[in-house]
Amino acid sequence: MILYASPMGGVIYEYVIAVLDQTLPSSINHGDTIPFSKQTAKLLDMAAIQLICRGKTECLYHTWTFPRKGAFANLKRGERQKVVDLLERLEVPLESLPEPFTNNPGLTQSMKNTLTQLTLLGYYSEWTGYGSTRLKGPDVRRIEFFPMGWLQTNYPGPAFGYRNLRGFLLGDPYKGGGHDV
Amino acid sequence: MSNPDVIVIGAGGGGAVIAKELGEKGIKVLIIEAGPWYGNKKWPNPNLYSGAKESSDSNDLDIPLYRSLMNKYEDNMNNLVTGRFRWGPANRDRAPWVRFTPQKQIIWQSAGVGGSTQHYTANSPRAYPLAIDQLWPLSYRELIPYYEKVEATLPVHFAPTTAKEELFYFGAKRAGWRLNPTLNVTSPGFRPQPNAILPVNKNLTNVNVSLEQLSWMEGCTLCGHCINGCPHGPTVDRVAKRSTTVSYIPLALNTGNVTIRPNTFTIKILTDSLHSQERHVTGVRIKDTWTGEEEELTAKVVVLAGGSIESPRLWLNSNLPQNSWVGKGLTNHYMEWVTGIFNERDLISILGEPDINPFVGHTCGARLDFPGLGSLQTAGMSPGLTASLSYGISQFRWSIYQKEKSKWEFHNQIVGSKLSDLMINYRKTLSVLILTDDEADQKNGVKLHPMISDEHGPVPLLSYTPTKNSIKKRKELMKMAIHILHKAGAKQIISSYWPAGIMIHLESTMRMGFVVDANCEAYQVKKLFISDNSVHYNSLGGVNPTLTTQALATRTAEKLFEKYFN
Ligand SMILES: Cc1cc2nc3c(=O)[nH]c(=O)nc-3n(C[C@H](O)[C@H](O)[C@H](O)COP(=O)(O)OP(=O)(O)OC[C@H]3O[C@@H](n4cnc5c(N)ncnc54)[C@H](O)[C@@H]3O)c2cc1C
Repeated sequence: MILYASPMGGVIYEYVIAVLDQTLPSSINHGDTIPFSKQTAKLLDMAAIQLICRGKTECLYHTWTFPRKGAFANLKRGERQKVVDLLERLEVPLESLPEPFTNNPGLTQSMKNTLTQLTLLGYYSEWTGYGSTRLKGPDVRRIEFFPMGWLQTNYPGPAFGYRNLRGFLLGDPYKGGGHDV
Repeated sequence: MSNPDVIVIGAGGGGAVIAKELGEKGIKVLIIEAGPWYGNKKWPNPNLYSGAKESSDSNDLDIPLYRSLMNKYEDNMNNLVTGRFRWGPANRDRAPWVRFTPQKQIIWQSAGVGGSTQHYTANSPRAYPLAIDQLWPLSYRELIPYYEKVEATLPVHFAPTTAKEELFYFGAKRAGWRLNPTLNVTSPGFRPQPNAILPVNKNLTNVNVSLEQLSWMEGCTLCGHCINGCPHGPTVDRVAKRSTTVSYIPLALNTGNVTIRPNTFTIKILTDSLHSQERHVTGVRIKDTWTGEEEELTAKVVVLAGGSIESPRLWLNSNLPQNSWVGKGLTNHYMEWVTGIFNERDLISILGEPDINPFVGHTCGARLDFPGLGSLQTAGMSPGLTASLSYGISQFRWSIYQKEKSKWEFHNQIVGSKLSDLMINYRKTLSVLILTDDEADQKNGVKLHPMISDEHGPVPLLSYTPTKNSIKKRKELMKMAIHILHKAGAKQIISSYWPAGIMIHLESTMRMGFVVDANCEAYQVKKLFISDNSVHYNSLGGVNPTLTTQALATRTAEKLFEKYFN
């Protein structure tokens, strides 16, 4: 019986967080005590304040103005995308970014692609199919469901093969298969 | 193995080849490989436990084990952080090994026996003669016998046709290009990819043999998992996609002279005197990636085959003589990715089927060559990789608030409902990868990070900006790709505008003529040879690099043997 995953679009952030937290070795991430995902969230919040304050001579917002959700999460989708673009264009004070982004333009700029790529890979790969094991280590996870992104794309899943051979444009180069003619 | 004649650092695209060639000449070779070994009984749980120290017996290779590890799931296999094919230690609870760049980057390499050929798509074209002759310190003609030997050993065959290749050929013909039935490309044209993939199983269309049965037999089954790590074949050495783990490594073991030690990082190349101008290599310092234990090994000759980032990094971390070209000249084919979406009616009239099904057949089965500019190749992958490569990386902004350029062509990173509309059409998608004849520039390359080190020393810092010529050439190739997709009937075409920091084909960081001589021996350190993509004088004219690395490795083995062991 094939079980289909319940809609898990809402949990892709778990994938993004889990992968981010494994991205940097602790020597660079200043100890395991500050996970990279937390620092990324701080980075987004700082850039959000930057966007909100843009063009204003006086701006009283701080990262702590938004106690429950961060500044970033309070923005509308279009604005959130603008925030990520600010990072990409490095229109943020590099020296006051949280570690490990402090004075690290490459890493800061890469975050837009990283966040997008992880979201897409989480959604369209087998990850949602891991169901209740999805947050376990890669060697422990088991496929429980047909992944959500494969339903959307109508991808049949891994295969032993396909009988869709249509022929050969050129034969074997070593059996007079038509090279160098 | 104690007292090897030669130590090879890295069991990837180049290292595996030179080890087999030397082993056949009776030389005792020890390969030191940083990553795990998949498919060897001595490491039944390669990502969980350290396992044995080394293996030198082809009877240790085990196809059921290999199959269980290569499970074709793209997150499990290809995730750059946690996948089996990542640049990092075997233990996936640990973070990958870091590299830095001052720009947007994706560096796509893999540690492990087989190196980056574990996930490569096995496209094995020769360089364009135009990119070799009068530029390299050796001629294209001199390379031909070595190309032939590698092509016969891997072996290389022209790719079979499935729907995506047929559609590409259809578009290319309508765009005015001609079939170029050759391995020596001197003029523009399209052709099937010369791929290091075993020919299609003759029984593939025989419905009395199940697909599962076929997958245990010899020959490609068109399953489409080249990039996820092909697991199909009767034995490890007969697996269909010829990553060096299944091609040259078993052959190397069969010589009885080659031992491979995975999970071991070389942290220093040792030489005799620190002060004289001409130095000689004496051995290496290594570190176990599970235990952290260090050891020194000696050998008559050392071959560096760590790939285009780690080879210069190791040179620099070993305090070898100063050379202004070490690490410099990095090329990456300044790649671009263009995707066409087709509609059902057109597909039925061209292919007789409503879908292209990009997940069927060789991952990259068709190409168009244009010596002087570079090449185009089709690429069809599973949905996660497709989404992230086609729509998830761009040097431009999100499409949601960017105006479309024209009705059928737009460039940018795509999100929201536009993304899901495109992905709903996944089975009607054809992607084209562009490889630019990328110019080597001394400004681009690898150096040591001034502040940050990991357990193996200062980490590499990469920088790459395409030259004016490379930018111009990529533009021309993009036009060609768009034209072909358009002629094939695509209703929407999306150029991703990949940022310059996409590192898939890294070459030329230890260039022949600058760091190594024509025999690939370092000018400044005798008995140190280099055998990976880094020795390429240039980016081969925009052609996939591995076959040339393997031809050179075959040649270097001969030269090395003549000079030091004959
Ligand atoms: C998705 C993808 C698809 C590709 N498809 C193709 C293709 O179709 N055709 C093609 O020609 N190319 C392709 N490539 C590129 C191809 O992978 C490389 O050209 C090829 O693997 C390079 O060989 P190499 O020997 O230079 O390096 P690698 O194959 O990367 O081998 C280097 C090895 O050295 C080891 N190593 C490094 N440093 C050390 C150290 N200090 N100590 C011990 N071991 C070390 C590494 O772990 C690794 O195993 C592709 C690449 C990617 C990412």
